[in-house]
Amino acid sequence: MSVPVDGVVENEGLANIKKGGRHRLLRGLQRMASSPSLAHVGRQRSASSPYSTHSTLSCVSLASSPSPFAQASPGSYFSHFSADHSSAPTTPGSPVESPGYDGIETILAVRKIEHPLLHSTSISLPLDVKKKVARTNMWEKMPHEIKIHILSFLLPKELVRVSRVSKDFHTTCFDGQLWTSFDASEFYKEIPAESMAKIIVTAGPFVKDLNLRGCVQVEHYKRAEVLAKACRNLINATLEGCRNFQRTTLHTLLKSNEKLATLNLTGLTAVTNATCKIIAQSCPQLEMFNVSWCKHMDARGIKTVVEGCPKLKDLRAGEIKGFESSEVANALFKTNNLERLVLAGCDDLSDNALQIMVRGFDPEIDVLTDRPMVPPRKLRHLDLSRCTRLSNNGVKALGYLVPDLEGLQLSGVTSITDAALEPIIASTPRLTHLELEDLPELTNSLLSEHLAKAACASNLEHLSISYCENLGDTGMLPIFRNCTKLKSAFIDNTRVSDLVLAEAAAMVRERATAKTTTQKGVKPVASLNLVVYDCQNVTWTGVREVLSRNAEIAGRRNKPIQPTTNPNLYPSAEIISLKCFYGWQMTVDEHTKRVLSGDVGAANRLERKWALYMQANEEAGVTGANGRRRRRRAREAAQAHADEEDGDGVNTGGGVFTGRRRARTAACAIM
Amino acid sequence: MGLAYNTYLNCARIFACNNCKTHLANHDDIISRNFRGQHGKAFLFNTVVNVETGEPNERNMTTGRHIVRDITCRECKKVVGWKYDKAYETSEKYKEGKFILEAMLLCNVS
Repeated sequence: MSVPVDGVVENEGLANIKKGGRHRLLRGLQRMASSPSLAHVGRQRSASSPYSTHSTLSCVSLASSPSPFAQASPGSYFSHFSADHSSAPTTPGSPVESPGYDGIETILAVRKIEHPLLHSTSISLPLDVKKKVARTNMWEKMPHEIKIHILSFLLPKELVRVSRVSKDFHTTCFDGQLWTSFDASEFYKEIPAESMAKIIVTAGPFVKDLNLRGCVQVEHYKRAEVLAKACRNLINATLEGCRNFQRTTLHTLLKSNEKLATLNLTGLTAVTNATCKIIAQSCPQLEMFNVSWCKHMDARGIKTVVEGCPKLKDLRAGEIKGFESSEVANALFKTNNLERLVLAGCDDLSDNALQIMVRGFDPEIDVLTDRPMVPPRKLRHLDLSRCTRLSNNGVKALGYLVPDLEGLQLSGVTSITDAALEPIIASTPRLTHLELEDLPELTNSLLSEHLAKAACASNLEHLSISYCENLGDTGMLPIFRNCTKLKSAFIDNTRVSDLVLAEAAAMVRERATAKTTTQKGVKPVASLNLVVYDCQNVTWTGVREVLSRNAEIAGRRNKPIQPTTNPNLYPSAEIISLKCFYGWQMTVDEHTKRVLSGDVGAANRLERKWALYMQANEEAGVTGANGRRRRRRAREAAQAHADEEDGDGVNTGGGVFTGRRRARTAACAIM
Repeated sequence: MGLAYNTYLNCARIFACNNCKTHLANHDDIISRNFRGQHGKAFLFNTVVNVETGEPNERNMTTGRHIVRDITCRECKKVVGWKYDKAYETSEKYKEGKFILEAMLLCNVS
């Protein structure tokens, strides 16, 4: 008589275990639900159900499809179990209709109940002879390093999810090696504060890069404290946007992380001059320091940091007050380490301070060249946008003292003229980025005489002269002729006209020809980004010219340049991506898309259609059908505007213009 | 409602509120700069983030009658510009659904 031991029931004497077995069957059955919902998974009906056994069994999902467990492996509990109960009515041919049950239910549902005596090809061995096959747990047996390596491919969010599988998983997932870089900028909105605090505390000293930009949930001071105490080995830290970070917490964090190399504390109100002092004392390895818009500190703090951190290369201090102080400027001059200096929006910065920064107090002037004899600055990038107090005297001092300069931004320093920029342009052969937006005093001669002929002309990659109202064709044409490496040119809101567009197209065409490739049929690439919206003198003909040149360049990339001498040399295809008046922008975008995908024929057809449309519009505007009616309507609209108050954006009281008519001036066109 | 998170833009040149430096719009999203607001220059943008819109008003601009809503920065609640709801002139229809941000109330971050 077999006794069920550990569920491994011997396959003998079916009648003996029939009665007890039926109850066991009922207990193990899963009732098929009307909708395959997983809520019923794992639920066991008690034997004392209101249903009779027969009808119970008829409701059971009896899968007829062979499952891996139905092939009776000796160690499998349920298949043995099921094989014993041949007395259960079964419809072996009934199809499975519960998709949700696969995998989970296949273990538990009764399967393929057939009379073992009818079908049996093998009978399992008696219990004492049978070898117990041990269950293998692959994950447990793997070395820890391999587990870590596997988990290192998961994203942080997935790691947290996976950690709930088991205790072992939990400890492995929160192993510090997986969390050396905690970058919350993708999921800062979704992660709750406790999870974040828990992760950082567990990872603690392993975290090297910490990016908490936008994590406002750190507000609660206790959590932030915990954070600050946990991290000791930070190398890069970004706390931008953690608005209510407490000062004491911040100080603790800074004091305990001596290896800090990049520190971004943009916009934090907790940062003061005292914070800077702590940084200067405890973070000697600091290389990048960003404290833009920290309202509660000023330039003296900057001075402490600059003097205390000899490795500092990148200093960004936008909108910090107090830069008119000459001590700060002197400190910056003496420690000549900075390669990138951003002082955008510092309206305290005066000419005097800038001069001291660049050449020190009262330098010795070289008799021959009339320039100060001081070591040149190591600056590579300088941003002085919107420093409104600066004028020619200050900016001119930069000339000849910044030979390594690669990027210069002077947008919005409205009072400077050509004279300030000439020496700089003449002495910076490596200049690639030049931003001169919103400088109304500049004239074309700066561009044509100085920039186009300078040493940096061949290196210039980015030029921006938006809103410089006096600049136009005479300045930009030589630029496009000489600056062949130009990648982007923002010339909106200037006086440029179609000629410039044509010149740009010609320049791109030439450099595409010069740059040859041995591959045939390479896809065209947009190598010049030209922005010309809001320019009154740019008309649709100029835009059309650019588009047709684009199509032409793209079209000839399949023909070798010199078919006789070198049949393998093809010109590469570079086109201009244009941003123009919004009315034509959709056509331009569509045309560019077609050219970039290689479909030049479609692009040409689009261009021709657009040209016809524009021409028809032009002609129709003056004469032609409905011309007179349109002009009359336009006149009426202008008169209607003349009646109403000129709002200029503000709604000036409604009662003023009821019933009062102004004198009609037919030529008044308010728009 | 939970904590209000700000959206951060990831581009080269970003315009932000002058007061609190919340990201508002991308430089590449500018449609035109040829606008004037109450404080001088203003820019027309396709999309802006981190703003809340106010009630619609009818205003007379130099270009005609429009229905506009003021937009305010989500964090510091200052007005940064307006949004066009409806334009009565056909030539101004392109502005509908677009945003104007005033240059005075913006700053550049990069």
